[in-house]
Amino acid sequence: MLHKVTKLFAIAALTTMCAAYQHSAGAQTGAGTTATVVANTTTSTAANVTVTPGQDDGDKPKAPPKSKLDPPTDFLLEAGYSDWQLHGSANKFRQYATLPSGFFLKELTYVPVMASPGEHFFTSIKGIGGTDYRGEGKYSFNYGSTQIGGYFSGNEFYEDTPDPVDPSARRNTGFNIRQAINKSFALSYQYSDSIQQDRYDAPNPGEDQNTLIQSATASGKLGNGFLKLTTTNMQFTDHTGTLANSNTQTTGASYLWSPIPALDLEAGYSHASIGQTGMQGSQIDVMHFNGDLSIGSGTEVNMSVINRNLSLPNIQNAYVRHEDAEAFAVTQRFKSWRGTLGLTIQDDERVNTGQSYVDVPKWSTLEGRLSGKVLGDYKVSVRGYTQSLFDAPGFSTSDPSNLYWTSKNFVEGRIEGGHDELNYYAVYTFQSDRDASRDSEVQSSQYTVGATWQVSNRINLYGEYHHEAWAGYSSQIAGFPNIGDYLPTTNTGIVQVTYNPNRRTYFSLTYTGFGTENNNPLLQADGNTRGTFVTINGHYRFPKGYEMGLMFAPWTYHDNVVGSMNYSTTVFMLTGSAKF
Amino acid sequence: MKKTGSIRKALLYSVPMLLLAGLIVAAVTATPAPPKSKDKDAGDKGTKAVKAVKFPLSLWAHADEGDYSGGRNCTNCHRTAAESYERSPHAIFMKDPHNPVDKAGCEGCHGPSKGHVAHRKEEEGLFQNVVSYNHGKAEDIAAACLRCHNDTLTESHWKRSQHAHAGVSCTSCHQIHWADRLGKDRIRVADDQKNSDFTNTVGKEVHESIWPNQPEPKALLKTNESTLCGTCHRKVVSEFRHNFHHPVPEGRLVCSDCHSAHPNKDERKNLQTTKQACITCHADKAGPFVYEHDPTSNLTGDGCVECHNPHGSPNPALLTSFSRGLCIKCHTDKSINHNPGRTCWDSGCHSSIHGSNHDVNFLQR
Repeated sequence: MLHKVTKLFAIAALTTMCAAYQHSAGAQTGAGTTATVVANTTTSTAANVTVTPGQDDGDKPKAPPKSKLDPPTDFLLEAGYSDWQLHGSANKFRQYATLPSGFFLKELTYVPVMASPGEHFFTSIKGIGGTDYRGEGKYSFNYGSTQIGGYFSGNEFYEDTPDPVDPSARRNTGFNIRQAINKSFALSYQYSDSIQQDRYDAPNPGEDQNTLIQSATASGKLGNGFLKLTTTNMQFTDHTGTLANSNTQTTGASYLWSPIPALDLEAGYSHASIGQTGMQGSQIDVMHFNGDLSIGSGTEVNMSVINRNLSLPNIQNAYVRHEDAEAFAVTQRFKSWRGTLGLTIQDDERVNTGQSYVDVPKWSTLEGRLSGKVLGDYKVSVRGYTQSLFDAPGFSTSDPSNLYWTSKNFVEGRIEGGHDELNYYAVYTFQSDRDASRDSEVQSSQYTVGATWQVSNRINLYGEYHHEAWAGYSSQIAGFPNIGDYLPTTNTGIVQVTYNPNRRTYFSLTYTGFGTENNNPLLQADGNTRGTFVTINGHYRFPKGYEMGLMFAPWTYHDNVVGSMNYSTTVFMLTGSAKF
Repeated sequence: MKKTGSIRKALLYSVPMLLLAGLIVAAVTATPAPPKSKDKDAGDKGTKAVKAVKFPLSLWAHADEGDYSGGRNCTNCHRTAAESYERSPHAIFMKDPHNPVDKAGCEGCHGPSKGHVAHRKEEEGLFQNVVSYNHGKAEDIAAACLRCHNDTLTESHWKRSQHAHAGVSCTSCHQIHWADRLGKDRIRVADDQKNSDFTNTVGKEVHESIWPNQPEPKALLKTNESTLCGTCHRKVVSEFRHNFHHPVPEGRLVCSDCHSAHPNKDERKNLQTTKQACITCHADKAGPFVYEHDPTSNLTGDGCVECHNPHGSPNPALLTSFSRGLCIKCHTDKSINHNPGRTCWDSGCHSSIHGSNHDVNFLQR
């Protein structure tokens, strides 16, 4: 009931605001329409106005020249027609969203000229009448000291199953209010309600639940520091009766004090009370303290301490009741280079499965980061960490060996460079997780390379390739399949060409593809897949702000093991927009 | 029994040591006040110059009321920028009649115009008498913006963030001058790419949307969040191109739904656990459950990212491994001989893998 009231409020607020204001005659500039406009996006109606500094008017005042901007408009209306020509699995094609089909109203945006100079109003609704839609509105007055906003959205999607299942849905509504007390302190309130209905294939029963979150915050300057007070209530309701409904109330306060410009000290505390239907209440308390000190212009010292206490009386197997974490880091700058070295120590008081003993495993993490410029134009950065586990706890599973990773290592290197016409980048990432007790290890090695080339004033090329390889092994697993037989190797790539024959016209051709392979010992769906997505876009901007767009997109998806997951489609979409 | 190591003691004692060190640094680096001027004509300007205020705040700190023109000088040369600015939501705040002269109009952001007009033909002095958001350093731009935007973020918050360390300025992501109220047209200065280290690689790409149907950019962002953030976070964009991903390319989510671009101190990654970030939308996984699946439950491992890659993955449900590989990389004793079938969680057995109120082995509820 509350959700319906909220949604009605959001819609009523938006429509009432739309009807309350009219054009102001004084807002029309009456200037000419000789804007220099370049349309350069795919399906949006965005355009860009290029201005070169120093090429505006001369130094001495003259008769005002014609404006280079289009005259202001209040409404944007975009509509279109779309056809899919889909063959194969509709579930897979509509896994995350549902494209419009047939005639559709894509967008209606209204930004009026307000009667008072201290007011601003904006509202936009997209996907009107479709299964995927989104609306939002904002209104501010008193020169921005009071701001009100609201939104709603809905999406329909499908679980990617070999056999068709019913559609799943997400519906979100929310609104927020912000009131400035003075120029440096404000109160705010947010409300959101999210309905989640997921449908799976048998035997999974599916989900029907909603999450209501309300949050109030007071924050801003207080004395020589910054104060933040928050209280948040999160209410979870499971309409199937399977999970316990819960209500979590979290209240927190923090204060950042800067006694001198070089020193920042912050302390904070939060308390969460969790109530669950038919169960005892739980509590979580968190205290934190941070300190940052600048020494000269190039050195920073950072330190933080976090302390958590968890009272979770409902849990009957292993859980953590107390955690301490301390971190210390030093950052040094030298010319264009910056380096950071840090150490974090964390230990947890862990109650074991039988709740008869408390272990205290510890983690030590050493992390570093180095970035700078080489050879003038190349920007390089390297970051990584190594984490080790000490005093691993015992387990009550059939194999009592430790189940935590005893060591984790990560490193990432990145280089990018270029000039006005050509930009390029490369990123390499390596990660290794190891459990020495079970002699098991999982590794990931990834690299991404890409470049953008402005071939001429009219043609732009963009390409990127990403390769991801996983490997894993445990000597405790005899024969086939081992860990690595379930880990994939994946390649994704994109190539895009854009062409602007003139300032009003824009074309693009985009190819995106991915391929995933693994040994797939159980011959399941989604293990060996291939997708190719070609999208051709054309866009033309008429005088006076009218625009037309055309999209032609042959997409295919292929599963090498489970053929019922395949689909192919040719999406045709024609859109037109008008500003008035 | 809980143990306390020597390293922990050192870290705990560093709290008061840090405070003491800071006070010592302040004492050593403090500039003594100069003697009062005996010149009767020095007046207030002499005492103003004493205050050690860095650029760009010095432009406002050292200005008199006569140094401000109320924006009249600006439109003579910067007509298009002034026109587009008038149409932007930002202008509404600057028109507040209660604003002091140094926080009103063009001069509220760019500094008093008198000095800029006097030095406008000097190549060297041009950007020392005006705040240029295309040519300024990231820390100078942040200092200028935070003169007003200090109710949600302070300079202390910003300068310790990773974005600040990478040289990302406010105007790397936000645009102040709009061409029209509908927000569809962006004013782009031709030499935008000559800005700081960050925008050297952003260049012209920032306005090309990487995916269609993205939500409206909020808070005067230059373009939609996916395109803006993806300009630098390339690897993340490539992860979203995987077969399974959070629906950011489809426009159902944006980066700020999970990430904070302006991290306040209490949003360091360790303070809010990974699980706390995920349960905002996935509250059914929050628990606490009668039988928790440690270490995925929260603190002893990486929480949700122990098993999931939240951006994108080649594996269903954004898992880091495919099928049973996810489970046997920890539970090495449970290979294919353990009830062969589908995956461990969708074959009708360990369905409540995020936690169960009914069975210690997370069997189907």
